[in-house]
Amino acid sequence: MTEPVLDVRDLRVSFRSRRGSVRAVDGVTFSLNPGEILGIVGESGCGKSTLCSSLVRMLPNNAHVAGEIRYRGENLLDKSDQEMRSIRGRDITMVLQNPMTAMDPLFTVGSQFDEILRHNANMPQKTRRERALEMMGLVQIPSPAERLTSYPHQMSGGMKQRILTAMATSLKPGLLLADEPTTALDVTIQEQILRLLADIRDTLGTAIILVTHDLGIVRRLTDRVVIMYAGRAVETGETETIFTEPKHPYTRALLASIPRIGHIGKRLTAIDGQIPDLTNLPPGCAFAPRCGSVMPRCSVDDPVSVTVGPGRTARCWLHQETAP
Amino acid sequence: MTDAPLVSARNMVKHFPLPRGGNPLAPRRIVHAVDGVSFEINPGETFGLVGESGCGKTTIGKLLLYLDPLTGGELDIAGHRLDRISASKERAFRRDVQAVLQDPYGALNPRHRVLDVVGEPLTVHRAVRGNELRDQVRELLRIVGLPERAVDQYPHEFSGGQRQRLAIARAISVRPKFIVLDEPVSALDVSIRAQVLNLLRDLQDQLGLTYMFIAHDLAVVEFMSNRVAVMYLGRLAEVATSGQLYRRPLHPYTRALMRAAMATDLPRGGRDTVAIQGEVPSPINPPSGCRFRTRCPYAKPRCASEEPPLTQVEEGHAVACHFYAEIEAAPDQSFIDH
Repeated sequence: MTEPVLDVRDLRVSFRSRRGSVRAVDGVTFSLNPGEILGIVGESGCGKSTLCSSLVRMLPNNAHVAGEIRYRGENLLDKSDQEMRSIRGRDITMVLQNPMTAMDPLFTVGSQFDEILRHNANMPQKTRRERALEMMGLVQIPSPAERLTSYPHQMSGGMKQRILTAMATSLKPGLLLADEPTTALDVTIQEQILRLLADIRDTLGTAIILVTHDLGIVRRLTDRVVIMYAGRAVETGETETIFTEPKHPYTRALLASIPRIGHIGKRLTAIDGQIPDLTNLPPGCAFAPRCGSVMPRCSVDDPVSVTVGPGRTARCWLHQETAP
Repeated sequence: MTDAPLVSARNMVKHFPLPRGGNPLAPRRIVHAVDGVSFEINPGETFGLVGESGCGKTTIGKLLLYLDPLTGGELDIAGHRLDRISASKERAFRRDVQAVLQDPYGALNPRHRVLDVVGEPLTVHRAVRGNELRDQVRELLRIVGLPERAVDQYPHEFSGGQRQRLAIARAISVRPKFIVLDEPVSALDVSIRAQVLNLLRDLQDQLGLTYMFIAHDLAVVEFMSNRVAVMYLGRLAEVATSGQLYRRPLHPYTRALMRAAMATDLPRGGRDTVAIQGEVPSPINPPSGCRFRTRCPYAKPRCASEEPPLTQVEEGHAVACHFYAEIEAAPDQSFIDH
């Protein structure tokens, strides 16, 4: 049994605000093996991006993080800020949603690439340039030497996102956090970036956490998935089994509510109501007011995550009795 | 009821000249946003338009709304000839054609109450007497599934999905014949999208509306539309009924979009086909011949020299590709083989 790259136990993130404490992530547990791609899926405000940022402790000052985040066995919540700085950019790196703002418009791509390598690794300048060229080739940038002298505005969004992915993986990190990496891009370019992420996993063995709202992307790329709703991991498990046999009513409703190719003329099964406000959550299960299988106890007690199959959990009262 | 199309576009062209950038002797550069597009939309149907950013789909929406004048071609909507409409007729046109756009936050004036936001077209077109406005707006709110008390609230009190309902209530208020829906759900969350899509369908049935549905997501367009046009760099690549497009996507570009759209239903690694390389070329200097050839995995010399016309393949199904038959026959590239 290989040791997981990342092991997250009962992660809780809350923000102090004038309206009281807001629990953005509420008791999320998962682990990630080397070379595995994990999807974190949910709608806006479900806490998926907060969860992702909390893994590298990039949260605002009013955030409070509890639980355990073990990267290669060490709890990142015990690290000093100094130690975290050296972990970020070397061991755990990020690719974010908007490639347009992720680079500094005043510096060439080459100098920004070099800065990352200089800051995070002890390499002579010649090696740094070679590494940059090698990575640009890996992400299929045409004429990489010329591109290093270009400025960000001279490139398209897809090309920038590929270069940012090259930067993020140039020091062969153990874990890449990709937060909606293709949301700002067109469909055909999105396809190219998804293939690139799969290639990176295959060639470098990097584990990837992919945060997205797009279920199609999750099914294409990920091995396992965490479905989030209102800060809670409502269902976790292997991607294929979750898509073919969803256990949680939210997962089922979500899959039923997206238009599918070839289902012409059928009505969509919409989920009624609105996404809940985290400052004003309903008592009990957060999904209860919109749930088609709601029971009396759902609006009183909040269910806990239980194992519902090999490597699968669901946080729902429907599955509490059947649990071993 | 006649069989005449409600919208008829013949060889529509829209070019945007660019500023010369300080040098008066420089040749004028032109963005070829829409370059010879023809289609018809029948009464009561939804015509989908799908493509990536910069392909000209929103420009077509704007031409149909008469927010931009045509550079060339003819456009006839509900009896209004938009290539030569007079100022006095424009008012009647504005009543017949309405729009619901992508951003439900930017579409509603934050300083106006729902009564004024939703009731504005009624007031502008003098469709109601003063004290009837409130009742009419309440009725519209009920139709789109919002509580009647919303009439006195302000837009910021509503979520994205509810705001899109307000925008829809406003669009249907003057009983239009035709509505342009430009990415109406792409700003909404997955679980809210289905609500709005279902509402749009119900309204179409109840009010006999005709839609043009513009989006980048083929799954949504195909779901909503009777017929779909796939657009690439200012031209139509393929036009088909939704069923035909699903059973038999012919253009290599349609195939690529279809593949991405079907990801939710396909297990990982299933039906891997050739990826589309590179990026969309600039509409200032579109490629010669077939505009898709620079990214097409099947491109041959003929594609560069000769522009493929939109040719009918079967009833209601037309494609602009020289080699669609060969590509369809190539078994290793076929992904409709189930």
